[in-house]
Amino acid sequence: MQNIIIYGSGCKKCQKLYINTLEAITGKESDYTVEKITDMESIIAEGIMSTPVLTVDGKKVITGQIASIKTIQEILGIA
Amino acid sequence: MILFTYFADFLVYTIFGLSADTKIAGSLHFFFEDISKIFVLLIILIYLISLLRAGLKPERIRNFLSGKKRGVSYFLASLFGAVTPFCSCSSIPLFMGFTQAGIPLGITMAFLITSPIVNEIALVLLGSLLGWKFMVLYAGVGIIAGVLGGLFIDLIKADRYLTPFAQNMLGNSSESTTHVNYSKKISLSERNTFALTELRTILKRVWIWVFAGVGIGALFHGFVPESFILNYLGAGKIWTVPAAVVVGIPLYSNATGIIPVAESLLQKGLPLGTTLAFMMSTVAASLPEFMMLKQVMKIKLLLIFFAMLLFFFTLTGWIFNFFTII
Repeated sequence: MQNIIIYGSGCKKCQKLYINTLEAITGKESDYTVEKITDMESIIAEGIMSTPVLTVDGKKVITGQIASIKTIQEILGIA
Repeated sequence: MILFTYFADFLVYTIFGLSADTKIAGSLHFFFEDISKIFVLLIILIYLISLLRAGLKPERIRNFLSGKKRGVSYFLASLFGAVTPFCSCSSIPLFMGFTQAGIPLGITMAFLITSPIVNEIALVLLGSLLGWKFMVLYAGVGIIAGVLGGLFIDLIKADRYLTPFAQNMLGNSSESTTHVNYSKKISLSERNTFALTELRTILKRVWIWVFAGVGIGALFHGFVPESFILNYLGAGKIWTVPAAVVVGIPLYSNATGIIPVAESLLQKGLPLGTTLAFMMSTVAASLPEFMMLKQVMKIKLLLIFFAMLLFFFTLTGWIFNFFTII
């Protein structure tokens, strides 16, 4: 079970990354927990400077940009 | 560039069969020439520029700036504001990230002021529509605006006017920024992927602004008589510059949309300084940004900040108009 968190202030880019992530894990939902954090204080507390950010088990893997469904699957190791 | 003129000639005069001296033909010609030119340039140049700057992240800029001498930092921050991609919805985390790293408020503001004004898309469009001289002028004024704005913010000790929220966050600087190694080398294929993603994202974001901007520019081009601008808004009329700046504030646009409008205004004889002042105030001072910054700045500081921008843009307009007259 891996824990995915998407940090973003609610802008379009952040929503898109969230949607792409959900798409990317389709069929494997039980392997992941996906969480979305939009609270500004939590974002800043994480030391994030450009949103959106995607973390897997607390590790930042995507910062400041949208990633395609394919890229997210590659990162997660879903072929 | 002449290619796009031929394209518009062909479309408007041959396909549509319009006579060159009609107003509608003038408008349509402007529209098709600019639209085709802008999109071709955007696609090629965004891709190339994104290839080059893949991996340039605000975190790296921060690490770089936090070790620098204060004097040069204003200039460097302003310069980086011009070249670093960042979405306005990130301005608060970026603001906090900079200040938490001990970078003075004014230097952070220098970055944030220049960022919306000068960016690669704006420069490319300015260069191709209005010539490289205008492009250099615009970039120069934008960067100086950042430096002076930043200096001013520190001069009035604006830290006093941050919201309690921002001041609290300043106390506990975070260590969690070390998760990612920002200086790692990026492979060419990673750069390519980044550039393609950027291209798609930017085009998706700006196409509507381009259409709106070129549309307004085209209407202006075809239907507003030159004498109108000369008589009412000429360089000799001092009040037109502050008026252009004030009109620009509620008109929220990004740099991409405002450039075709500026092109059309300049062609109609609106003085250079007035046009510059109008462009800068439209892209730099906007309500959405105001709302965003309200989270970290008290109203008093926000008002000072905006007043300062307006003053600076007006002054710039006057200076350039003055030199145009003599």
